[in-house]
Amino acid sequence: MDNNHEATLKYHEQEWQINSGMTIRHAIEKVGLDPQSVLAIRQKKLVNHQTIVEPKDEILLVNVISGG
Amino acid sequence: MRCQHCGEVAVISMPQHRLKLCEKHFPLWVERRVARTIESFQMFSSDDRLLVAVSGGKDSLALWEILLRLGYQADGLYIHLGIEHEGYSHVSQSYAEAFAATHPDATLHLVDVRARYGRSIPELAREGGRRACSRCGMIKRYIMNRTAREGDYDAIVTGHNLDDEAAQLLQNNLYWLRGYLQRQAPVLPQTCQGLVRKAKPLCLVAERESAAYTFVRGIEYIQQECPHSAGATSIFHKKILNDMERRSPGTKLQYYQGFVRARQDGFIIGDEDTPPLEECERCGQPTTANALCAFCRMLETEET
Ligand code: SF4
Ligand SMILES: [Zn+2]
Ligand SMILES: [Zn+2]
Repeated sequence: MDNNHEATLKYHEQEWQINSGMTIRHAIEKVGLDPQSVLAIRQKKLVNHQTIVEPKDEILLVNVISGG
Repeated sequence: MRCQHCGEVAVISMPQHRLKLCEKHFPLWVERRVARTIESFQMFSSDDRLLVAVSGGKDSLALWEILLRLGYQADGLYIHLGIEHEGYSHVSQSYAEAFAATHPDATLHLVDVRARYGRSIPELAREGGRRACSRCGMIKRYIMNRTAREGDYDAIVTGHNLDDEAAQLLQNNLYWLRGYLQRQAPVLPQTCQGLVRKAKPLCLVAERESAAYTFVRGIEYIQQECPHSAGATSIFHKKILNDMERRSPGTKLQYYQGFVRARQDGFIIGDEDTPPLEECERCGQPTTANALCAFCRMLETEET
């Protein structure tokens, strides 16, 4: 498979290679996370979950649920 | 996905409000929402001096920023709990200090529990055979009230968001904790001399909105969780509520606002004979116990 079309999704210490072309929301669901409970950051900017993942993107997911 | 105000790229979609906003209009929307919450619950007025309980986390720093932008006189209080796991307390303090350093018109008060009272929260909890969180809540409430009184503040404000409040309500409902249901409110007025008013201006702002706000406003906060919160019931309840929210956007807001209205309409009736508050013999803080308040009793029993 051609890696040039892949993008990276990061959450805490976890990292996934995902295919570009799908929405961030879809990617979040694919790796088993709840879109409600994370924000997506690309190049230090908040991006909405309908954004299409581009090849070589690095998307950082930030947990928004805190306890205590 | 486009901003409904200006047509620029939206950074967030809020299905419960049928709203999509860009990085310029979203923070303004949050600030306006908080301003309206403060007014509608008559939390405090523009002359009041506010003390913000700052943990270094997203909600309390977002709240501090919003209050300052709205023109309130808001100072911060950071309580160093002495939680050493991965330097948690030190790291969170540094975020509170970094925020204060960029907001020169606001003062940050620091109270170090161990330096002032001899033991950290985990040590006090261990001595009393309790979980850290059960001690932590009581000690924080004590220090907040005391600092607010000593500094002549009119109200203590905390960063509890909609998800915190909805999860707390679910917990209180499930076990029908009547005393807690009665006291769960957007604002608790000063019921007696010495007990400072408390308000939660973010109570109608969802947790993801509060986190998104800090990003868009460029506020750095501690993302690490307090190690004692692992496995907290509140996280479990938040997840359940988020599942419901996904199926039916607006559930959390309806649940909480419905409760607040019911409470205002007198559906939640409290204990008729709440004992009057007296002054603690040692520290002068209000207490329902006679002689010593719970905080002074804890220090005393755990000293011996
Ligand atoms: S999780 Fe527990 S110990 Fe940690 S800050 Fe919250 S109440 Fe205190
Ligand atoms: Zn806009
Ligand atoms: Zn006392």
